[in-house]
Amino acid sequence: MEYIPKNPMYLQHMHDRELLKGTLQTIILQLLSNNGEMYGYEITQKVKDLSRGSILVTEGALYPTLHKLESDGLLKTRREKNGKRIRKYYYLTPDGKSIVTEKVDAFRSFIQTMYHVLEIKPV
Amino acid sequence: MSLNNSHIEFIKNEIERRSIVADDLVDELVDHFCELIEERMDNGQRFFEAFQATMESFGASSGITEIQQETIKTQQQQLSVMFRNYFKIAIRNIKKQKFYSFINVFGLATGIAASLLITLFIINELQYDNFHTNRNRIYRIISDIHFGDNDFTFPVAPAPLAAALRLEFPEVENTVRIRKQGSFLVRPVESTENIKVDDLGFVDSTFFRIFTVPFIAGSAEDALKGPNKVVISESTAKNLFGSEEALGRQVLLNGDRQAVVSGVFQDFPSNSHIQMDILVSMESLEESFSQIWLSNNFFTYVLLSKDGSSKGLESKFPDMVDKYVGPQVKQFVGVDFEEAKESGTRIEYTLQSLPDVYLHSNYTFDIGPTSDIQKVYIFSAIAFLIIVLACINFMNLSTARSTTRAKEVGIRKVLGSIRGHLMRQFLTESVLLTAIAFIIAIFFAQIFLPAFNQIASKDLSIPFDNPLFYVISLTGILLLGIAAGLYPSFFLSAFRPVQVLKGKILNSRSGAPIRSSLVVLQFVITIALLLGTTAVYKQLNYISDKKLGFNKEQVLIVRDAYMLGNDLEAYRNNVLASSDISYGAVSGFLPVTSSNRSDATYWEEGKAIDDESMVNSQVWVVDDQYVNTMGMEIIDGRNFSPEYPSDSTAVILNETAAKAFGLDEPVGSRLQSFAYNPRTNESYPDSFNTYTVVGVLRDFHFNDMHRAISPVMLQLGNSRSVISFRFNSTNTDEVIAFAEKEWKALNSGVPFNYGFLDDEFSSMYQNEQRLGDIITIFAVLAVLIGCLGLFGLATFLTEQRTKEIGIRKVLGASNQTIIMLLSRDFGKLVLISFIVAVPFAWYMISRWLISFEYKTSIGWEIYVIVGLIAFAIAGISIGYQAIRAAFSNPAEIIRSE
Repeated sequence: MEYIPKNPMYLQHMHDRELLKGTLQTIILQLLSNNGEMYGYEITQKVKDLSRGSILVTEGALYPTLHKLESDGLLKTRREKNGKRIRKYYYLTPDGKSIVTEKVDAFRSFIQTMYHVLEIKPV
Repeated sequence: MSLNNSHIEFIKNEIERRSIVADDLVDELVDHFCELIEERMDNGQRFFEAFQATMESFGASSGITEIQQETIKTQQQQLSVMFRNYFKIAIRNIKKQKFYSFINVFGLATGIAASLLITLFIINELQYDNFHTNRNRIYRIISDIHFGDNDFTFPVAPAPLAAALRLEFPEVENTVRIRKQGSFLVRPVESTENIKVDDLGFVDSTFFRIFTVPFIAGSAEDALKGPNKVVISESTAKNLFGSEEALGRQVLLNGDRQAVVSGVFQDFPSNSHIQMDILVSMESLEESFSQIWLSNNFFTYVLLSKDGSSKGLESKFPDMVDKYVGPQVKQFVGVDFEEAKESGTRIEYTLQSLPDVYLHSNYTFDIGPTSDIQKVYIFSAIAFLIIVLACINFMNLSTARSTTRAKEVGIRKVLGSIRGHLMRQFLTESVLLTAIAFIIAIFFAQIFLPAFNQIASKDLSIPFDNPLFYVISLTGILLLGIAAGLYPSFFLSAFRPVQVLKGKILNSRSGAPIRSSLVVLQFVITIALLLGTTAVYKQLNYISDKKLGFNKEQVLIVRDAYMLGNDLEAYRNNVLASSDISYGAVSGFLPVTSSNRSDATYWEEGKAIDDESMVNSQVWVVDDQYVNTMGMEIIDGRNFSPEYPSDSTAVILNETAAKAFGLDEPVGSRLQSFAYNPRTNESYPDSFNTYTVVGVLRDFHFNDMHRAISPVMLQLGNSRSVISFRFNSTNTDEVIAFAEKEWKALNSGVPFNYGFLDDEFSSMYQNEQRLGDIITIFAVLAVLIGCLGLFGLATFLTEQRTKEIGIRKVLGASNQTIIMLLSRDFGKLVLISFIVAVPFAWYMISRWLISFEYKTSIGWEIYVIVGLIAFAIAGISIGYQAIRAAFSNPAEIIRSE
């Protein structure tokens, strides 16, 4: 159900974006699970770092997904005020925590299936 | 590199300028922008360059708004978030429009509170007798007798009927007879102090098997088997014996009958049509063994078996009547029953189901309190009308405010709201207002409940402990909110954004036709309620001013006179010694409904004894001072007098009786009836009593005005339950004190129990009085709610037209013209309402008055007055605003542009 913009306005990644579709939620949840709380920009940077620059999450994909996860009750937010700047940190709710492993496991088994289906070996 | 405040402010403005309004998103984007810009500035770009580049990377304006749209879209798929959003905006709107919100909420709350009280009242009325487990199998016998020119329908039956029913019909599982005896003086044998017990009845021992009345002491099965046993209510037990054990104690009833307490039952609940304090075993009453079918004294209830049908049972009654009553008719009247039937005589019994008893009984007397289904209808209508009024206020104000909200709707639509979303938004607002109003309403209702209880003489409470109450309240909030908000939401959401935003502002007349019809409806209701109230009061006044044929003022009634025994005559003489007292009469028969009644059949001596000549007449046993004490007028012949020893067989008739007997020369005529034993209530077909008419009384009203005056015959005799004194002093307290002093002087141990004839008389109209009071209160409320709405509407519409008014004044319009201009529209509406309301009200009033035998006429002037009042009400509601607008300074109004 993640949102992927119909007309990418910004180079999103070096991979085929079709491949990435469906993984943004998992990425966000797993990142928050590993790093506690994060804000929007931090998430894009982290993804960029971890993918060695090959995945760039656009704001147009990130914020709708974050808000959806929040309204689904998987995330909560905390605001931190710094002068005029207000930073919104996202962190997992108990519901969100319990769903992370599920999502990651599902993704892992999907990749493994794909190895078999496509008859390739992990690098 | 970190950005300074003015940078941040700049970014914020740039983002908000691109219509980013969603909560949180602005802050988030600002922060995100800052980070990206800082990153670029760290790489050596200048702020503005960095901003431009970042903005571009976001896809410029359209990119940013798309983020917002997608965010909102994903959120709105979530019901809870959606409603939270609607809710928030609703609260903001309510806060923004404090004055209208107040009028809306206050009007609605008043309406709901009033309807809530009425609903409680109606529910209480509808729940009478619903505590009996067998309620759907219990029926009451109604006798319908047509004999000669006499027609009777009453809820009592002959003594032997119950036994015959059990014998003849297998579907009759059980029966119980109740012989009501009114108030009694009761005391424990060892005590000297009597206690007055209001309701005493002789009942069959099956009473507790048919009715569900929990026992506290004793056994319900056997408590009433055998003579001289009584079971008493819990509160009576407390009155008589305090905290002592009541079971097995001996009591003395009316000073002459000793009985043993064999059981104590829980007081009848207030929603029971049977209210008894003491039940005496039927076997103690000689009359209960009577085999006479022509005398009806027993309230008879039947318990049908589970598969019995009331209609089936009723259809078998005529055969039973032929079998049992026929022979006795022949024996007494000398006419074959078949022949009598052919000439119109009718003796029929029908069954009235227990749930119908309270609301569907309209007999001259009854076993306990009864009401009228008509009352339930009237009150339901009022409750409904009040709610309608409050809803109309709501709708009118909402659509009138449409002008201010048109732009909001336009912008929302441009931003992508679809009509459904807007309707939901408006409905949320109205449901929220309704909910607030409901809470305030419950608060109001709680405050006014004691006063309402007093007026309605009920013991109602808001059922906070009943989960159903909350379910109904929530449903009510939703329904009302939707009903009141539906039209405005349709209306408002239908605006076309292009037109609205282009500046083609809706003028104050948008939605006017519907608004006008609603105002008309409101005024129709108001005028109809005012007319109804006036009619009720006019009828009440008519009753209390009507020439009664006797003088109800200044008559002191001393009850329980028979308890004085042989001292009664002495007491009368002692009181009469006072110069303030002119007459004193001993008689239980008073010209008010609550009094003793008995009747018998008479015919003129010499005429054939058949239904042609027989007249059923009330027989009032009085003494020779009665006519003077009551202030009745003898129009022919004379009063009873001790100078004529033959007066023991003399009678005085009222005009109606003289007419009914067909007497041309009433005085001196002789009337006959069957000899009768009052103790066993038995008549003897072969021997007659003969009476001579010595006088004729002007007709007097002794029943309530619902019924026509029927034949009454006064006879000399002993009826010692009441002694009445006519006094001619204005100092009533002194008269009472004197009568009481003399009473106490006789040391009988009987409490001095007195009243006044005029009080007794007005208690006959308590129901009407109550109806009048309640209708008035709610009519006033309805008018207030209507006014409130009209005031709000007028305020708003005047505000809309301030500029127009300013320009008109500049161009030379006078204050009067302006006031006229603003009032004219409403004036027209009131006129239309009046034309619609009058026929409607006229019809309803006539329907109500039909139930009165003696009724006032509602003249045209009443309609005119009420019409003027309606105009005045509208004038006051609108006038303030109109005058304020007219006297405003045009320079100030126009300057503001």
